[in-house]
Amino acid sequence: MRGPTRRVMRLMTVLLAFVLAASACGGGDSDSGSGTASATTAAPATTAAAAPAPATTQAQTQVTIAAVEQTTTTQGAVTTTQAPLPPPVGTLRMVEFSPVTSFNPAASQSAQSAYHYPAYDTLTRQRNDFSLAPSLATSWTQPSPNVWRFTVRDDVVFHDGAAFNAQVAADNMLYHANFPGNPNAATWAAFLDARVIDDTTFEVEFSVPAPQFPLEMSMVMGMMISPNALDGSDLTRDPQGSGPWIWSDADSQAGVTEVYHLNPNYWNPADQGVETVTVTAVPDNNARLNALLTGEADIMSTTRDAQIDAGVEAGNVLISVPNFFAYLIVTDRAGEFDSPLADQRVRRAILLSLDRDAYANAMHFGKADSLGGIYPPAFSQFNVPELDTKYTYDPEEARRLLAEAGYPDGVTIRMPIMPAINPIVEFVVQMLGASGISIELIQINNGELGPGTATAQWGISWFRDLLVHPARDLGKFMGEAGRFNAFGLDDLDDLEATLVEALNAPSPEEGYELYAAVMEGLIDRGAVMPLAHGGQNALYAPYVTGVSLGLNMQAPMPYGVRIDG
Amino acid sequence: MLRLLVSRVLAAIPLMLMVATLVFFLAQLNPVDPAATIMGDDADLESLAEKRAELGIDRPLVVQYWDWLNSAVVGDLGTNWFNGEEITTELRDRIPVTLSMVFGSLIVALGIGSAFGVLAALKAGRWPDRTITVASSLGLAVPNFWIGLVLAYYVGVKLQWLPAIWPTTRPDSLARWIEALILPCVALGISASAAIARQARSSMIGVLQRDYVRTALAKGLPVRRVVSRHAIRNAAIPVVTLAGFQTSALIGGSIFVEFVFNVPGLGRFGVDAILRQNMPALLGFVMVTAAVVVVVNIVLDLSYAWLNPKVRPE
Repeated sequence: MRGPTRRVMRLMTVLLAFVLAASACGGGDSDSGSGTASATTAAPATTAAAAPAPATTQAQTQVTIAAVEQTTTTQGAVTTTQAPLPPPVGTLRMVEFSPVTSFNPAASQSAQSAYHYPAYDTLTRQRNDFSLAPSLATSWTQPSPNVWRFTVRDDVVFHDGAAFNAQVAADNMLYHANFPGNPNAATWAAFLDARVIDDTTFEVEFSVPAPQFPLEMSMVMGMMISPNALDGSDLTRDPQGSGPWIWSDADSQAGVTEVYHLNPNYWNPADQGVETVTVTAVPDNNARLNALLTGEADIMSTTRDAQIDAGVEAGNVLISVPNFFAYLIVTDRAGEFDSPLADQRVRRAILLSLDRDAYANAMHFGKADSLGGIYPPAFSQFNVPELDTKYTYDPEEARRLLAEAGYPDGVTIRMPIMPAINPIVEFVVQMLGASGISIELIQINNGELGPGTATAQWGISWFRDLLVHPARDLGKFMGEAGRFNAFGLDDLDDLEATLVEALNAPSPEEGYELYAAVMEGLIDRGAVMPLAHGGQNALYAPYVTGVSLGLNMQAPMPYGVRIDG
Repeated sequence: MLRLLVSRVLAAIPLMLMVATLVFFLAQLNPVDPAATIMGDDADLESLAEKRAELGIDRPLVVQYWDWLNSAVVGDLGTNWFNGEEITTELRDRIPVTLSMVFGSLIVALGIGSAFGVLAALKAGRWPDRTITVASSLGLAVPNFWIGLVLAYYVGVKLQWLPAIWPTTRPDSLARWIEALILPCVALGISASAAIARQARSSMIGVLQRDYVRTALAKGLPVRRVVSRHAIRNAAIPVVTLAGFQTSALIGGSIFVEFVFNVPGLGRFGVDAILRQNMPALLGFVMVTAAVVVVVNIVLDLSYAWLNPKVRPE
C-alpha cells in the first residue's frame, strides 16, 4: 500500500496546489479590459496626476484633414507600383468586439466596418495620416459650397459582374440617404440630391456646406453597393460590393466568423496582401486579447486602454487614433429641467470641478490626454492650444461661483446613468461632489443615452464622440436642426452663424479660426465640458505589415495588409 | 417502457409551451430596446421608429407572441434580429458544439469526481479525506467562468499548452476540435466533479459498511478487489443519478464558459440574445435548452425504470 499511497498523495498535492494557486490569483473582470487574471481596478481618485499622451506607436499621431479642405486631389490610383507585386499570401485573422449586424452599409454603424471593408469599396480612402486618397473616386471638387463633384473610375466591376460608373454612384447616394432606419442619418440630414454629369462624373448637393463629406465617403456611408442590389434586395447576409475580397457564405458562420476570399477581378491588386480575410466576433475583452497573445488572431480591434500594456509587452504593435472625445453636455441651459443649470456661473462651476487628469488616469488607465479643448493636438488644424489649458481643475473657485450664484450650500442636478457607463458616471459624480455639486442619478438602459439626450429627457449628461470634423461634430449642439439642442434654445445662435461662416470660408485657414471661436464659445458658455481624449485602439502582431486605422472606424482596414510571419 | 416514454414525451409538450410563454413575457421586463442597440447613439428618433416597425416590436405583445408561436409549431423559429440569419440554422451550428462540451465536461466530472470520492471514502476521517473534502468545497464555491479565466491565462497564454480560445477559423480536424474543447471542459467540469466527489464519497462509505463487504474482507479478499468488484458498482448508482442532474447544470454553466473561451455554442448565443433583447434568438435558445433538459430527464426516467421495475408505471 505504500506505493499507491505516495501516488495518491502526489495527486492530491497537485490538486491542492492548483486550487490554492487559482485562489491566489485574484478575480478577473471580463470588462476590466485586462488580459490577465490580475486585472487592475482603478479606484476613483480626485487628486490630479499627470496623464501621458495617448499611446501611439505607429506614426499616426497627426490627423491631417487637409485633403478634405482641398477642392481638388491627385488623379490616379491609390497605389502605384513599379516593381511586380508579391502575390497575396496567407490568411489575415481579425478579432472584433461584436458580430456583424448587417452587411448592408446603409444599415450599419461605422463601428462594424471591419466586416464591410473587405467586401466593399468606398469612394475615398483614408491614408495613414488620415488625409484622403482616391479610391473609386479619382478626384473631387467643390464647384460651390453646397455641392461636391466626384470623378469616378471606369474599370471597376462588382462581385456580381455589374459595372461601376457615375450613375451607380449617384444611385448609391440616393440609396444611402433614403434608406429607412439608416444609423448614419446625420450624414445625410442635409442631403438634397445626387445627379449624373457624365459616365464618370456625378454631383452631390446639400442644403448647407458639407466640407466633411469626402471624408465621410471613406466610411460605411461611402461604400458602393452593386446596382443590382439597390432595388430593395436584402443585403443583411449578402454583401454586394466591389471590394478586394468576396464574402463566402459557405465558410462563414453568422454571429461567429465571416470569411472573405480573394476577388480575382479586383481593380487594384496592391490592396490584396492576403488570400483570405476572416473577421471573428470575440465579445469578451480577455478572450480577444488572448486570441492575439496566442497567435490565434493577427489583429485585435477595440483594444481597451487597460489591455494596451499587456499587448505591447508581448511584442505586439499598437495603432491608435486619439479621437475618442469624452465630455459633459449641458442641453438644459435655460433651466427647464434643472433650474440651477440656467445660471452660467453654475455651469462654469461644473466645468472647474472636472479633474481631467484624474479622469484620464482612472477611466483610461493613463492612456488618454486631459486637455481642455475639443480637438486634441493630433488634429493639427482644429486643435486650439489656448483651450487645452484654459479651464483647469479648481474646486475652490467652483464653490465660490456656486455661492455667488446663490447656492452657498451647493446644488443638486440630475444626470442619466446606464450599465455601459456606470463607473464613468460614478466617477463624475465624485468629482462634482467635491465642489458641492450633488448628482441625482436617472437610471436608463444601454442605448438610451443618445435618444434621451436628443429628446430633453435630462439637462446634463456624460457623452462621447468619435471626432471627425467640426462640420460634423459641432453643429449638433446648436440651431433648430441641432440634434443635441434638445430644449430648442437660441443662446448659441451666434455660434451657429459663426459655424456657417466657417463652412463657407474662402480658405481652410480662415475656417480653422472660426471653428476655434465656435469651440471656445461652446465651452465658455457651459454647453460642452471636455473630459478626455482617448484612443480608438487596435493591436496587431509584429509580423503583420501595412496596417492602418482611420477616423470613425474602430477596426483597421485590411487593404494592403500583409502577413510576413 | 414504451408507454412510459410516450407519457413523458406528451407531458413535455405543455411544459415547453409554458416555458416559451413565460420566457417571452418575462423577457419583456428587460427594458433594452433592440432597435436602439442596432442603430447606436447617433440614430435619430425617426430611424429608431422605423427600425422598431421593421422588427415588429411596435405591435401588441400578444400579437407578437401569437405570430411567433404559429411559426414555431411548424419549425420556423424566425430570423435573428441582429444578423438576419435563420434561428434554426444558427442553432443547428451551435448545438453540436455545446453538447460536445457538456459531454466532455461530464467525462471530466465523472473521472475526477469518482476517483477522488472513492479515495476519500477509503481514507475516511484521515488527511486525504479531509483534503479532498476541502478541495471539493472550493470546487463548488469557485465559479466555473473564473476557473476558465485562470486556465485560459496560465495554461493557454502563459504555458501555451492548450488553446486559450476557440479557433478563429473553423477547426479543420477532429483533433483540433477536441484540443480546443479541453480547457472549456475542464473549467466547466470542475464544479460538477466536486459535487460528484462528495456523492461518491458518501455513497462509497455507505456501501463499505454493508455486510457483504465485511464478509468479503473477512474471507481474506484484498481490499482493492472488494472495492473494484463489489463496492464500486453499488456505490455508482446515486453517482450516475447525480451525473444526470449535473447535465442540466452543465448546460447552464456552459453559458459563461463559452464566453470566456469564445466557444461558438448555445451559451454565447443565449447570452448575446439576452443582453441585446434579441427575442427570436432568446426564444430559440430557451426552447433548445429546455428540450435538452427534457430529453435528459426522460432518459433518466427510463434508466430508473430499467434498473428498478418498482418505478415502472402500472
